[in-house]
Amino acid sequence: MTVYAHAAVPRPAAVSVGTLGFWTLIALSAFGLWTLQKDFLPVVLAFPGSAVLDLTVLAVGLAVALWIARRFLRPVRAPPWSGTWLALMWGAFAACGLALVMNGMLLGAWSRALGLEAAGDWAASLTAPLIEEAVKAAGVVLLACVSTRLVRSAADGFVYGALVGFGFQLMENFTYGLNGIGLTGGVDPVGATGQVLWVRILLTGIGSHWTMSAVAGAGIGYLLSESGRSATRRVWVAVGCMALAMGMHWLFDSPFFGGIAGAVGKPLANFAILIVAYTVVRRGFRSRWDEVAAEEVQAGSLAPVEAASLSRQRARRRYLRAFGPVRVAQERLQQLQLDLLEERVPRRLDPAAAQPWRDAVAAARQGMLVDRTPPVL
Amino acid sequence: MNDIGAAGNAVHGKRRIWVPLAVVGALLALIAAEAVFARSQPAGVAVVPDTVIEFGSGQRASVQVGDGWVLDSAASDVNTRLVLVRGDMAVELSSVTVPAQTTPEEMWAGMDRLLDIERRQGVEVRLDTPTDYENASGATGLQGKLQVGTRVGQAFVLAGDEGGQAVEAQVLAPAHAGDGDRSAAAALIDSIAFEEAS
Repeated sequence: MTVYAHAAVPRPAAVSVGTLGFWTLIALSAFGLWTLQKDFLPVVLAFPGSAVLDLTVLAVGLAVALWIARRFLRPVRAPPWSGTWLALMWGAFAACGLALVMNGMLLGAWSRALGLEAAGDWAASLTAPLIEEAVKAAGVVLLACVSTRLVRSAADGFVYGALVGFGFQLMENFTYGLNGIGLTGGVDPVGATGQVLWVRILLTGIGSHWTMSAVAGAGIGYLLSESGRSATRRVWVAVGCMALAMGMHWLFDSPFFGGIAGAVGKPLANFAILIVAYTVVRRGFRSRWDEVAAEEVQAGSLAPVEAASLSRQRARRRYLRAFGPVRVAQERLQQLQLDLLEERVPRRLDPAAAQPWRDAVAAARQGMLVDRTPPVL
Repeated sequence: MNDIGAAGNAVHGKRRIWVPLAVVGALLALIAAEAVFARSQPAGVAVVPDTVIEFGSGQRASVQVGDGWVLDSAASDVNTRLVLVRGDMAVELSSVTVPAQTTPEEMWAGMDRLLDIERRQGVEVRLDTPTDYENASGATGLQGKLQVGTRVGQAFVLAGDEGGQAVEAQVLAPAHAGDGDRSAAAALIDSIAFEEAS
């Protein structure tokens, strides 16, 4: 029987449950969930057909959100599952529940301050950008407190911001789907829910909460991790990203560019901004990745062909295909190599501190029965 | 200055204690600022007698407000709902968009379904069988007795001329409410009209 001796993986837990950040996330999510159920559980019980449709769409939306965030939004590698679920939980429960309470106060106040007509046009755009972007961004900051390893680049902030936004968007779709019943006088509850969901997913979903909080999250990631830059610059970048996210939200909710053209155009504008932010973040991350990969090649931890194959999922899969029977062991080695390079991405880290990861790579390489030269791609 | 820790994240050491506290503090400060702002605004706006308020999206409805009514601005949204208060009497007018060809009876059944939400919250709700109704402005629909908890009154559904738009009204007050308030509410409902199709 063939036995592969795998080196112990020096992978610290992505989430530390013993931190105040973790318990703050849990406590505020529990509060948000309680707030949401207080308002919407009676509606769910009164309109089970709409609730089933809402939940079905929510489940499909969750699958799509996970696929987009984990497949596309972080260069090289998807974020850990623990961080993924925490971000979604914060967005869906804590951020949505807190926004429900805080929006309620401010919307009523705008009605009284501006008058009924002006408030009808402007209350949403004066409330949601401030409150909702603030509570969503708070989630990304708390994720950075849960573990020093979750948010270590602008790319991390970007993907967690997007995940928080997805969570928020999914829960908001759920609640709006139920609110739609009242707007149609309870006449056709399932039809009303379906119509709201159709608009919010197919028409505006492409440029809604996830795009805004991804931009804000990128700024937070930059603030918390870009050690090569001055603190002042980092703060200004974070403030700028937050302001941009609020501006995106303001435009989205404002009465400007009404009608069907606005309903389609405003989300597309937000999506275009997301793409620009993603391109900048991705370029920064990849440039650093290439830098550390070259260093590790020079240090002898990686073969050049291995380094070349690591930075893209498709290239990693293509590389592994050539290994046939030792593919499993090679995949293990590849994971350790990825861990090593991920560990090297933060600039402040002393390269010598990544030695345990290098040792793990070396041990895994020796543990393989076939010591073969990696194939040339 | 470089405040980023060895793990590559600025939230390290004692910051992992005070940053979450600062986040919670910032959220509480935001809530407090909102509460101060909300409290600085008047609770309601006294409506000048004979003011006509238009509300709803699509085909808009209007209501002429008589003497002594206060608009509960916080609970009102010009696109969907007006809440008018006079003493203990509260009138809630909701603009709803229903599928074309919806009959008043179907709207009434829809309103009854919506009242299920309050029933699920443990509130005693009773909506009687409706009768035909036509107000002074010519809007037609149904009316019937309504009881929500300890408050009693009437419910109305009024269909728009074009079909697709309707107004649902709930007039509720404690059982001991005076006749003056009740007749003022009746006048309010009588004045509801739908704007002409353009």
